[in-house]
Amino acid sequence: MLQPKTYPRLLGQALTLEPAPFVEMTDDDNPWIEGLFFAFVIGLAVAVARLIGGLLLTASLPLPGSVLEAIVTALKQSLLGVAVNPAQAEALLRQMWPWITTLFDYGTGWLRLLVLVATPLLYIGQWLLYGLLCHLVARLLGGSGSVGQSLGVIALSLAPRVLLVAMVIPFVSVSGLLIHVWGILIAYRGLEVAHDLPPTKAAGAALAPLVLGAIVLFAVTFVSLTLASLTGGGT
Amino acid sequence: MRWHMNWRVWLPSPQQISNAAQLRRAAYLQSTMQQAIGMIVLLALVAGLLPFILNWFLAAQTGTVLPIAQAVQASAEAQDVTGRLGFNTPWFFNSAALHDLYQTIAGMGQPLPDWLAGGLSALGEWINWPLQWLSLWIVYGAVVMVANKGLGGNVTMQRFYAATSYAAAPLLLTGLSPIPCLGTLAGLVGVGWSLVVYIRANAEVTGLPLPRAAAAALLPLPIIGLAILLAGGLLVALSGLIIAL
Repeated sequence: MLQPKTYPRLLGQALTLEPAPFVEMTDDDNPWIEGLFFAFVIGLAVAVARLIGGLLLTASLPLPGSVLEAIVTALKQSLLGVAVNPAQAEALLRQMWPWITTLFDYGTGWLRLLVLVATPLLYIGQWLLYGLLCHLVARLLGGSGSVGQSLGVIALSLAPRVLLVAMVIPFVSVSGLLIHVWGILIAYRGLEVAHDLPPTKAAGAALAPLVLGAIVLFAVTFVSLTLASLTGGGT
Repeated sequence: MRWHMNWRVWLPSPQQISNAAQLRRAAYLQSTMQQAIGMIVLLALVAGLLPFILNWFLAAQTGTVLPIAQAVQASAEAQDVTGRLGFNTPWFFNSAALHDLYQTIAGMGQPLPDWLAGGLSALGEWINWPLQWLSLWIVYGAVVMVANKGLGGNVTMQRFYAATSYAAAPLLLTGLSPIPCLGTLAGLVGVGWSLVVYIRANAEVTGLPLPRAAAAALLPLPIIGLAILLAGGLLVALSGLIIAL
């Protein structure tokens, strides 16, 4: 049964690596639904914070268009007498500028509202992928938990992302390393409880999806670069 | 475990913090991870208070947000140094052009009043203090935990993190960093003292002899350095490959 009023307590207990929230999630009648809602609530909270933070950042800085023109002027001055084509550099900068501003939530477009939908969806997607892979590895290592229980406890590993709510204040930056390492520690504790695994195996189950992800990323990059070189980079 | 807003649940007593900073062993065994989080956040906010006030003044004086105000200041200093030394800087580090750019952006103005834009950005930088301290504590601690395990130490994650959080107490001295000369010295003392507290706390909770506890606490430094070098090298190689294609 969904109990959002208990989320702040679950969140705090998960952050301090206590076993209680994992036991509670494992014993829940529908742990994966609880996990889904938990991921959605955190995603929405972060999205709202990012939206407000982006608006405040935009109001704290000059208009993006004026900043771009200033950078272009500086770039042209800097490139005088250098073997780089200023027109090409300017075109590249103008092409990349919308991406740069979107990345930092700096801009006045309506596009920023997308974050309200994209962030919860992204969190749910990450939770599902990571949770299912963790479950698979945990079962391979002799774990006894169900898929629902795995998804329930892995949802709690999203707890450190609540720190991203601080981004409601412009220029706050939360380290991705902190969010992910803390998340893995929570996932490790959760899998230990949900699957009744010894610490080493629980650590293996929590880390395996990341190792797998790194291998896949490396392989995809290597294959695409090889293909690009064989086909002449698409030119 | 009680989960309410009583400060005692979120903070160890000042006496406990003082005992831990003085390397008294009992202090490391009496706190919880919840208190550790509260203490790190509070100490980091206290340490960041003086820099916050000075940063706000700097930003409001320049009439822009803190990062741009700092960039204007830094580029002016760089221009001054390169001018005096007569260096020919490469095109991508044209300090004069950079200084002009930052000054132009600073002079553009923004929708919010100068004092508010400066204040918000200084506030953001202030909030980054506890976030950075938490990062150091959690991420570095995770690597030390692995090293502890490898060297035969035995401790739960909660106890380990609760004990090592006291290393944040001496870091209060880093808050004096804006004071010329004395600030740098205080910062160095703070970091060194913090490391000593960390090693002592690690030895107490893992039951490892002091040299082993020190090795476990220091081992992550070369590992992290190597990882950064490796990641940097990979990134450079990858971008080189992409450019070549």
